[in-house]
Amino acid sequence: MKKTLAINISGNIFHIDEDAFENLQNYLRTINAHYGAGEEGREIIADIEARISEIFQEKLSSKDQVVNLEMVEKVISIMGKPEEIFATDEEEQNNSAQSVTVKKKRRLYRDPDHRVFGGVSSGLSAYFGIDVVVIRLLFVLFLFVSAGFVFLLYIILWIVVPKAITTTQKLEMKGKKVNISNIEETIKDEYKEVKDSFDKIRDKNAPHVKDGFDRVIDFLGSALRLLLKVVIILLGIGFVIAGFVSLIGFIGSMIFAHTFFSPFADINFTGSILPKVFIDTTSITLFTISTIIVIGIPLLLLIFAGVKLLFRFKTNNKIIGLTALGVWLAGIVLLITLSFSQVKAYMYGSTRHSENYTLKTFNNDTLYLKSANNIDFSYEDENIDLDRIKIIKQDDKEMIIGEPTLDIERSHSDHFEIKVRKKSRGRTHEKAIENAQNIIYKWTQKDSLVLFNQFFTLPENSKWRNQHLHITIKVPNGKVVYLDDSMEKIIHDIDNITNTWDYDMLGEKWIMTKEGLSRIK
Amino acid sequence: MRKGVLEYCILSLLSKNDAYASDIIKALKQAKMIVVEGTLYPLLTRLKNAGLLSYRWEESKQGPPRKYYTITEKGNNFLVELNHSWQDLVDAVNTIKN
Repeated sequence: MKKTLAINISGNIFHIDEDAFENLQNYLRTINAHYGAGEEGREIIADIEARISEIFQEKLSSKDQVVNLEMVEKVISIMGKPEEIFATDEEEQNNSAQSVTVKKKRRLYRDPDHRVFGGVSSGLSAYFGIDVVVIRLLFVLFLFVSAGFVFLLYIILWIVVPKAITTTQKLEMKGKKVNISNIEETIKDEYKEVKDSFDKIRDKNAPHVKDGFDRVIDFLGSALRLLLKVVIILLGIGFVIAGFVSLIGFIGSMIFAHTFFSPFADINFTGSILPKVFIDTTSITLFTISTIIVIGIPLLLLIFAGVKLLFRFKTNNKIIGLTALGVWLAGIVLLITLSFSQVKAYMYGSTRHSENYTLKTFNNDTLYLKSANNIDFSYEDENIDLDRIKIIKQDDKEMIIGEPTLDIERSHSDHFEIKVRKKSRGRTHEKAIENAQNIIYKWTQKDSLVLFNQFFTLPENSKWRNQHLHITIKVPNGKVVYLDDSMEKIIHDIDNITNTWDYDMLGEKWIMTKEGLSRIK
Repeated sequence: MRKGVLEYCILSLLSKNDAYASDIIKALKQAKMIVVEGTLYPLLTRLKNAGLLSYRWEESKQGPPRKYYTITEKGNNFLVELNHSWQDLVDAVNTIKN
């Protein structure tokens, strides 16, 4: 038992075995691929199909008989294998190609006969009519100047520009010159055409209305073509320039963002330290790679499109497009995966780690609160500020420092107490606690004076996980605290019965009463 | 060389009678000028595009209409030229052979 298909060849319907169909389809596809999609090609194929249809009709005794593999093979032997058809054809093409060489448009090919690597330079030399030595010298020269981008360009050209294999292609490679004056010439030709058809419209002798209308259409058509050609050329140039500039800019910024590319590492650039503070090193590398892929590939395609608009050459757009899409999607997936894993690092939040201290007793009712700057940095230095966290650069190392917040409450005992709460986020609950415990903060008591560090710090290579430090000073009833001016940066929303703003509380003594803190006049 | 002769044959055939592609094939096969039929179609199309021959659609008893090829004025002129060069060639070869 065999499956059959119903096919229509040149207006006749045939039943055909599946294997026979495959065979016939392959045959016609090969011929199709050779003659191409042009007017002439289509006509040739239509003729061949019509003949195949005729042969089938002769061979089949009745309309219901099925075309089998044997019959298809017979047809192919009658029509000739593709190679046999093309062989005679090729010979003819070469003859005619030689006579019309001058007219043939030049195409960009790689020249395998004069190659060093991929034949790109020799191909370009044939295309532009410049000596190959000049092209190679330019390549080598720009290789140093452009820090490798020319290398990239060479690889791209190697991939996308087809190799000149057949004689026809080699002739096309050296066909009619394509240069600026030539482009100008085509545009001039087009312009002349537009002008001619315009003149025709203005020709008062135009006898029929229909004729005039036709000419308007003609004129519009050629005007549009001219416009399109100019736009395409400008677009091509624009694409290439835009693509290259953004590619260089983008890769440049990736290099700055990532000290992995060490030669640029010591260039001072504020944004450069940001990723390092958030993300661990392997993730940064992967992030860099995937971002380069996700942003770089569209830019490469942009350059490719531009080059294609400027120079005519055949490429397998489908394969290039699909490959680019595949790699791009892989980049996206990698980026999303990384983002999720990074977000996860912040998942468990608000975990606290509290430490309670009772202050040593002293011979006074007043506790003096002062703050000292423990980190030597000035606000003019480069730094990044995020929600009480600062990322600063010191001795070429990034440091994360944070400002604690300080509040004053009533103590439930007769002693001054200090409570230090550390908060952080982390991938797991345990990790969050560990991150909180890692917060380094110091304060000291000397009799009635408590000295607070202005900043808390994190151990080296720690990542920002939304660390916070909150200090609560517990003051017993009837006892007094004095807020030194240096406390300005730390105090945060201290409750008092007069609703005085934090900064107005500085330099004053405050007593804890039953109602709350109140100012001593 | 062979291809040029093939064109010459096609034009000669058509100068006698208008013909379907299948008729041309039959004649060329009989004369052992071509082995496979596929070769002919690109040739016919190019000759038509060169203005040496043209075709019209003829209804057939069975199936869709078929191309019926005919030689053009230009084709006839070209054929006269070809006849001359062919005669020259034959004469030249004969002179050498005798």
